[in-house]
Amino acid sequence: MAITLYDHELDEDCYRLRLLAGFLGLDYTRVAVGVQPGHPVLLPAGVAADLPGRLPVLDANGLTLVGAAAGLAFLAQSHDPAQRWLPVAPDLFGPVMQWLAFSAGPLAAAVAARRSALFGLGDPQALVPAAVAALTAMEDHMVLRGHADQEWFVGDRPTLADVALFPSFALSRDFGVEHDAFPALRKWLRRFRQIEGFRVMPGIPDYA
Amino acid sequence: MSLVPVSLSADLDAGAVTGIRVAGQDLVLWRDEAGVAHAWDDRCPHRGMRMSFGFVRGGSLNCLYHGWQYGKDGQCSRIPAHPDLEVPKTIRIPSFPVIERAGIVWVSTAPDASLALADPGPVTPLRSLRLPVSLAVALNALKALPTPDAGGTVWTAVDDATGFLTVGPHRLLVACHESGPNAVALHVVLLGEADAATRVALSRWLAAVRLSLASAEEAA
Repeated sequence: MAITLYDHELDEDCYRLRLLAGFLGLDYTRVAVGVQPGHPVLLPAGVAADLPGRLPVLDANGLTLVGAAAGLAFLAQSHDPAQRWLPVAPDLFGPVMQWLAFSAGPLAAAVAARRSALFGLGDPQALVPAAVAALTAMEDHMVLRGHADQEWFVGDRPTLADVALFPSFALSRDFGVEHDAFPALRKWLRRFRQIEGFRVMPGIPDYA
Repeated sequence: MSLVPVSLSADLDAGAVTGIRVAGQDLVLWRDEAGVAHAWDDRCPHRGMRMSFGFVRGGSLNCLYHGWQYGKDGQCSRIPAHPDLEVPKTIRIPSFPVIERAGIVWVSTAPDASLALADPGPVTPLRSLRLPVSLAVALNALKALPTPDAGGTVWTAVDDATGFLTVGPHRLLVACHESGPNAVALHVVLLGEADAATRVALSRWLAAVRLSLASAEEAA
C-alpha cells in the first residue's frame, strides 16, 4: 500500500502522523504543502479530499483521509499487525478512543493557541485558559497513573492516546505555557522521547 | 528569608531539567545523573539562551544552542566549537542554594535563606497542584474542603506558606509557593507510607479544591 502524507513541517497535526509513521517504521512519501497562515490549505492539483482546506491529508492508494485522528487510526489498523498502538481489547480500546477524541476536542484549544501565537492570527491569550485546562486534565490523569505505577495514558505500553496527546504538551512553550506546572506530563514527555522511532519537529529540542 | 518549595523531589528525575520562577527571577532547576539537584540562573552567558531548554549529560548541564557545558558549580567546562580551549573561570552561571527535605525541593535566591521546617521523617509523594488564586485563598479553600469521613481538616502551621494538614487518618505536609499575583503552587506529601489506593484517593481529593474554587468564584 502506497502511503502519501500531505504535510507541513510546522503543523503539529501533521507531526502526530509523522510520529506514528516513525514508530511503525513506515515507508511513506512526504509531500510538503505550501501553507499561508489563516487561509485554507491548497493541495496539489489532482488531489481531492472529502474535507478540503485542512491538513494533514493522508492518501493510501487513493483513499484520502483528513485530520490527525483519522490518519492515526487508519495507520494503526493498516500497518500495525500486532495491534499495539490501537489495541482491540475493549478495556483498552475504549480509553484510547476517549483520549483520541479528547485530542481533537478540548485539546484543540492548545493547537489553536499555538497556531495563533506563531502566525499572528487573533489573540492567543484568549485561547490559553482553555488550553491550560486541557493540559491540566492530562496532568491529573498522569498523576493518578503514576500512583498506580503506570507510565502511559492507557495500558502498559504507548498507544495512539500518547501519540495524539504528546505534541500539544511538547509544544506548549510556543504559546507561552511552561512545563514546570505539569510535572507528571514532564516525566511522561521524557519517557515518550525514548520510544524507538521518535522524531522531533521545530520547537521540540533535538537533545533532552 | 525562607527557602521556597519548587517541586516534589520525586518529580525531578535524574537528568530532568525545568524552568522555574522564584522571587521574580527565572531559574533552571535540574538534577544531575548522580542525583544532586541544582538551581541556576536560567541563562547561558554565551548568547542568553535559556538553560532550561538544555540537556543533562552526567554531572553537567549543556546549553541547547551551542552545547556549552557547565559543571555542577555553574562553571563552564567545555566549549565544543573550541575543544582545545581552557575555558576562562569568568564564564560561570550564578547558582543558588537547593535543599531537599520532606520529599520536596526548596530553593532560594538569597544566599542566607533558611528553612523553618524540621525533617518530618519518611514521606510519600502525592502531587503538586497549581491554582490561579492567592496563597491565602488557596489555603482557606483546602482547609474547608469536605473530607471523605466528613470530619473536617486540621491545619497546623509551620510558617505562612507551610503546614501540616490532618485529613481523616492521614497527615499531609503542604508547602506553598506564591509565584505571582493569583498564582500559587502547592506541593503535597503524605507523612509515612500509603498504598496506591490511598495515594490515588488523596490526590483526587486535593484536585477537588479546584472545583471548590471555581464554584466559589461563580457564587461571587
